[in-house]
Amino acid sequence: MEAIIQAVNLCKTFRLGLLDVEVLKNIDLAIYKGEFVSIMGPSGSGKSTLLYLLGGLDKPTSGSIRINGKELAEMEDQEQSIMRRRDVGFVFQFYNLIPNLSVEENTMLPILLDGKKMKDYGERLDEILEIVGLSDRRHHTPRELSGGQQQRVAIARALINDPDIILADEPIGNLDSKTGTEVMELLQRINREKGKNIVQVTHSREAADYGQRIVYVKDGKVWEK
Amino acid sequence: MKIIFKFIWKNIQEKKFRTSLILCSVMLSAALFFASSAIGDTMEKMYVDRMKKYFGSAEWMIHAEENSPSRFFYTNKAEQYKKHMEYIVGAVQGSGFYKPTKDETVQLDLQGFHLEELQKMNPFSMEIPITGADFAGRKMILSRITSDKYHLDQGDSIDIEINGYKHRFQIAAVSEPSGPFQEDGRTVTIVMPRETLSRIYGERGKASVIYLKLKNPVERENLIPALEKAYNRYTVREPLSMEEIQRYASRMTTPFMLMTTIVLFMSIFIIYTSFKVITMERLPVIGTFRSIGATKKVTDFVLFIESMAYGIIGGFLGCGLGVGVLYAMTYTMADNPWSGGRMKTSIQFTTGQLITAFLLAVVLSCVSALIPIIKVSKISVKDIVLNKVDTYKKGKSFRLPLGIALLVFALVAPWIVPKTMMMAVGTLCMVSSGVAVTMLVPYMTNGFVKGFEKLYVYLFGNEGILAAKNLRENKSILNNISLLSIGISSLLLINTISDSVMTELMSFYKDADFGVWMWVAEGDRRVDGLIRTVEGVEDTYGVYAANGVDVAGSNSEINLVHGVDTTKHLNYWRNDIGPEDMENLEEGRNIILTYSLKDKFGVEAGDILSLEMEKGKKDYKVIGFFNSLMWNGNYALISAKYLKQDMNKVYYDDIFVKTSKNNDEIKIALQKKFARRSPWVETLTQMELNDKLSNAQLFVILKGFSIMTLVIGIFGVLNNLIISFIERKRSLAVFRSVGMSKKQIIKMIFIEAFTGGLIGGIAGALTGLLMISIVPHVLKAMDSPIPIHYSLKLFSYSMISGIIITVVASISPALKSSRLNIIEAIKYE
Repeated sequence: MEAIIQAVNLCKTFRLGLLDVEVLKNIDLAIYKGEFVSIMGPSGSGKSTLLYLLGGLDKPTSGSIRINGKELAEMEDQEQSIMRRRDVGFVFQFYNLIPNLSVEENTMLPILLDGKKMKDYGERLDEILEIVGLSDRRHHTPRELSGGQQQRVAIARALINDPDIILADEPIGNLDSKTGTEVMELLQRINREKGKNIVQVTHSREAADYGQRIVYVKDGKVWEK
Repeated sequence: MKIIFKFIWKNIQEKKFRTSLILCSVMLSAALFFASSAIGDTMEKMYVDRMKKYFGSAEWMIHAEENSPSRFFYTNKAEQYKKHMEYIVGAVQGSGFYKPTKDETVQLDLQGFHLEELQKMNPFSMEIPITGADFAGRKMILSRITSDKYHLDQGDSIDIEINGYKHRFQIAAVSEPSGPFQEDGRTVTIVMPRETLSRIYGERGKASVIYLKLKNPVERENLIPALEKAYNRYTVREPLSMEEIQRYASRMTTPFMLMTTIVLFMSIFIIYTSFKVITMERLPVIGTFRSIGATKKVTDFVLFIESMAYGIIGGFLGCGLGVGVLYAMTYTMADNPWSGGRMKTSIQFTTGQLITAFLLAVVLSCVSALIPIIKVSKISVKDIVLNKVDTYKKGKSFRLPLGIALLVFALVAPWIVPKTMMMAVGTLCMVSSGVAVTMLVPYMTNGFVKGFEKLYVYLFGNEGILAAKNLRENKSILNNISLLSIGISSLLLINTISDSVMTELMSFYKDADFGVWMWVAEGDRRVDGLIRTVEGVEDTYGVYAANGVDVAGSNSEINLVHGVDTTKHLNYWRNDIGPEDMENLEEGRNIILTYSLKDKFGVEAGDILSLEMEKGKKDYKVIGFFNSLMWNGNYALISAKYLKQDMNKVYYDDIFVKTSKNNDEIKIALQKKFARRSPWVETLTQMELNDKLSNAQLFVILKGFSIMTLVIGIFGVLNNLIISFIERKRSLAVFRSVGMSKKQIIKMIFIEAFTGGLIGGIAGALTGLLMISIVPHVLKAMDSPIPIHYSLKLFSYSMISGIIITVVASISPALKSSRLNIIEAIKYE
């Protein structure tokens, strides 16, 4: 099978005061086209760090990451930024929306940053907001939305540029169980119906089960059951 | 308690830039307040000290006036009251010339005294003291400064020209620069025996002035009227009009206080916004304190003490700086371009003024911090601990109506309040303008941003749209706009007034079509003839003047009425008066008023003004109006014939001289020619320069104040941009996470700064216009109606400087934003 994300010998070390803490040690990981992968592990195990490295938000101390066959380390800031706009969508635990922008504007951010005109993407926006169930909230700002709705906006933003990969860091970590279930079902639907690759970091076994594969991170290493 | 103080001290030390900013605001406010409140007393003392050079400790003086039979008189009538006086000192005043070289002529101020009497009245110390017995005949004393300058010493003899004749005098003593020999950079004082000088003037045994000091000041009620009776054709007066000096000093304080008020307002704004951030930053610690049992009072106390600490430190430093500012202001004001002299710079202030400035600093800091402290106090422990504090609040409902109300007040009040209240109300209106703009800035910004969004797509692409949208609710940028608008408006206010005064001044002198302006005792047609004998003098024009003429039934006066020669006036003054109106002046008791007086008295051509003249009330018919800045426009013309009649005038009050040669040479020639009559002669060029310099002194200081306001504003802008960066770290990281490149982030922040600066500049220009619109009302109330000249260049520069300030101040936050660690900002913020 073709790997859409390929990490080889990945290491990440943080400096804490005078100490170097090795969070990830020589990790090899491949995410294949169409997969929904859950990454689990105890607090501080490095699972979020792994996710951010895979998405190019952070740089590894050593090792290689390839997305769609392109080596991240070889990319300039401009190229990486374009990759984040077009190939990867991020969903965070605390939604991370821009508070003074409306649902529409938050969703369209990657389009705007790509230098495209918002009006050319009207239909796409309607479609995405329909998928996440926020068509009637498009002019509201994040402050006027519930946690679940905000997370849906984050998902809509991740989808707007039709990327191949969606990386989600504890997407339901800040939501109640009912809303959490709704969000997970939405992600699962996106994976199944749209064929998007989803990699999520989660503490919850239930949430992890929405994925087809579970990767465990512990003591800087990964393994799968 | 110790741990709390330690905590407070650590907090203050932690954020060095913010601490410096708050301290700087408090310190400057205290310093400017102190300097403004003490400048009046200082100037008063400097004038009194300066005048003491001439009067010493004398409390009263008697001298000749226009109608006196002679400039000289006997002192015997005063000496009848000797037992009531500490001293009676008769003196002879005159002037002479000394030629140290062939080409140099020095004018001397000659003072004839009995040495012992002078020492009693105005003591001075001589390098080698002499007694009265040694000081007789052709002897003289001069100051060490003069003797050094002209390489003279005790025992040397020099020639002094008095009344056109040379007299040889021997230097009997050289004095330290004290008493009558105090240095003022202008006069060269020579003291000589009174008898010698009176003999030279042919007035043996007489004096030209008597100085008196009463043994018991209570006796003045009887003694002064008695002296006035004894010298009924002479003037008996106090040497110094303290009332006039005080009025002048207090008038000088007003503009400084106005600028200080603007600085105070700006400081309050900066401290308030800084404390809002401080309280939000301290929330976790406050939560911890409260969760372990500290009461609201204790946590409020911690914050309050922190604000008080800023007040105490800032106040202490401000008082020190204030003394320096006061000295600098005094030093600048010490030059007297009119006399060409310089007053000795010495500052005068009271402990009360220092304490008031210190207390102001403490109160300013505490009051500005109070609202943020109270707001934090209202947040529940649970919300703090669970981090559920939402700092966002929808636009406060009172802001818009209050802002509009203040704006309307500033616009309307100057038109409706009575003149007597205009100074206070004008100041209030200017402060209201500043507060109103601060209140309305968010609404104004929203309006601008809506417009910019559409424009920026074409100018800056999608980053432009994002930048414009980011401005909408970014409190730090809104605060920047407020700070810029206050700073820029105060700078515009001062510069526009200064430019207007200077422009009007130039136009006043442009109106004059002659070279030399002079006054001489007993000036008449004969004097006219004598002036014309001076080489280079083409023509002369003498006018009669009446000062402070009361207008019956109006409770006000005309500062200057000139009695003019209607055939000559328009040849000397390019006034906008038609030749017919000028001719009509001769037709009867007719008067031409300035437009400023037209407004003041509300009269039209044909109306009658009843003037209180020496010969009683006289009705003058208003026949026309003209523009003039003479006496700030409080000026009128009548025919010389009627002024002479109604005011018992015999001699000219001013003589204008048309010249065809170098005016400076003619000035010296005239001074020499009329030396005996103590003339006042000045070239128009020098008068214009003196006027400019004396106005420039005040405006230099005021500009300094306004620049300080802008400097505090710039510090505030820097602080806000840093706060904005800290507050927006997470949002910026989100932008990066969804694909914003480093270049895009820098571009977006610069567009934000550019837009903030542009809006701040526009708001500043508008606030400036509003403040300046109040000025004519205040000036009118001060009887100095000066038309305001707006400079498009000045306004454009102000707006551009607003943009430059914010864009330059954004360089550091923009670079920091581009280097942001996305994960740290998103995960751990």
